[in-house]
Amino acid sequence: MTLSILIPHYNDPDGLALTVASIERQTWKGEREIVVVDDGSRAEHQAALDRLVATSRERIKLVKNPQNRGRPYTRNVLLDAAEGKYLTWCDSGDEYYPRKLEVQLDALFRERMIDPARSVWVTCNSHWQWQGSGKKKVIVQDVEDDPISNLFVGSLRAYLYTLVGTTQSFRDVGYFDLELPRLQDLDFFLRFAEKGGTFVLPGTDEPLCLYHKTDVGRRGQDVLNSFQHIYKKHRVVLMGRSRRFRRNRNFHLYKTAARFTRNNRDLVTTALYVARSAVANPLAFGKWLLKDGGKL
Amino acid sequence: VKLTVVAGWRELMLPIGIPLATLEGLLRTVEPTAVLPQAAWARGESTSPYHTFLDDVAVDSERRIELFLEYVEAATAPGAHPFVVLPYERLIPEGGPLDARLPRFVARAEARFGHGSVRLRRLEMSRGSSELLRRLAAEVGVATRPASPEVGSQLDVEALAGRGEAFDAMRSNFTHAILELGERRVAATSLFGMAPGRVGLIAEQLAATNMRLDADVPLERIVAELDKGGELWALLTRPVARPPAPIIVQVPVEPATPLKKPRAS
Repeated sequence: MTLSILIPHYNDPDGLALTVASIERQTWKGEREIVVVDDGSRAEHQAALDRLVATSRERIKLVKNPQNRGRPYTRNVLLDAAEGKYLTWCDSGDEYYPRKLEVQLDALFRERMIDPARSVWVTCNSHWQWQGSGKKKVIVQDVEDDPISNLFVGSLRAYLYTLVGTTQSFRDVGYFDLELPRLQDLDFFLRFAEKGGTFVLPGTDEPLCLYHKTDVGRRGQDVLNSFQHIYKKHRVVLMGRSRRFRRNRNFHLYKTAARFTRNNRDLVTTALYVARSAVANPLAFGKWLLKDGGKL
Repeated sequence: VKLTVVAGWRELMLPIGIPLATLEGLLRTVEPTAVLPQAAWARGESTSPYHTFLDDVAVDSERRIELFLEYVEAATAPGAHPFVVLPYERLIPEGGPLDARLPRFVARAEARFGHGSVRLRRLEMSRGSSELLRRLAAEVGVATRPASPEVGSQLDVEALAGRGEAFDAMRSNFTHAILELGERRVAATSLFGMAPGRVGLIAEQLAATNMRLDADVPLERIVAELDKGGELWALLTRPVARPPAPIIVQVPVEPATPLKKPRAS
């Protein structure tokens, strides 16, 4: 098997059908498998999932968690189930553009040609589209300079669906952290970078995939706790950054948590998080008010 | 057979490269499942459509070939038959050494895919074109490579002869090669004789205006034209119709350098 495409699924067969259709349109025609791990979906959604697997032109391997175990656990099951030499991810409901795999695998071979010993993940620019909005935003990945700082700052987004690498390079990072209901991919990216892993872009700036974004149903408290867990876990590398850098990150984590609570209409908690962001870094808070008018 | 390596004389394949998509179309006329994996990563800054990564750096070539073969394997859909086109060898080497890259590549491919699973074919424009170039080279005093063995390989070599869209570029290259040889022979006052090195430019202009030498023009006519200081205008043609599909001719080739058989694992 050449390439495994790993997709976690939970109660979203329509989204998964969209994702699989985008994979069917890929210009890269090498041997591939789609591995779907269903994380304890409701019975009617599992039935729809079974129908999709039976009718798809793609080779789909379906694994089912007997009960809902959460995203990091499901990602670990996916990682274990992959049989391909190369590996990529996609979340159910997101889409690849047709040239994605071709362009990124090409770039991966180029990097292996330059330095076979280096552990490389090929990322790519992507589109964000808030669910219910027709407007797409281009997300540009910054792979220059220090990847760890870029990941903390968010100029390099820790989105698994942007990646292609060897399966071994993903397994070398270890398992996803079960303590992280959110942002387990950020932790995974950081661990890869801390081991000396390198991120590269393919030879194109064009967005290669589309992320249908939503905060609905995602608790701000989970986001905040996950950020704090990550900051604690990676405190050694974080302490190597300046105080200003760390204060900015604290401001950012409360602001991000506030965005999630606002989008889930929890205005009291939103106000609390905004206040805590002001305490974490008053200067950054002031700039945010002046520049963005406090827009989350 | 898991891989077909197509060898082509540099004189006929370069300098006007045949787009790989066109070449793939040609190959599909003889092998319906043919695919030509396009290793963009391997080309670097080169504009050549072929796998010039084998040219770029002499060191570490074994690993580079191995990685390329892995790419070919990875990029080929199940049920498709991959081809690799390597136009390295010179028909008119002018005393240069035999090109070792093709047999080296074939040997690595055999080691990877298994003995007997790699087929080698030669891409020819027509049955007589290469022979004509050889004879003309001898006529103007340029050393030529023996007709056989062409490749240091124990595999049989097939000649893939034919005409069609892909051969337009080959015919332009053929014209270029003839002009290059003719430059040594023509009178100093002729178009080519006055300024050695203009051949490439003139060949490009001829290609742009769709003017090419007939691949099967008799040598005697070319020599006669060159002898009188002519510029081959009388021999130039414009293709008007596309003849039918290619034909395949089997040409047995003696091995020049036995290759190591893959070790049993």
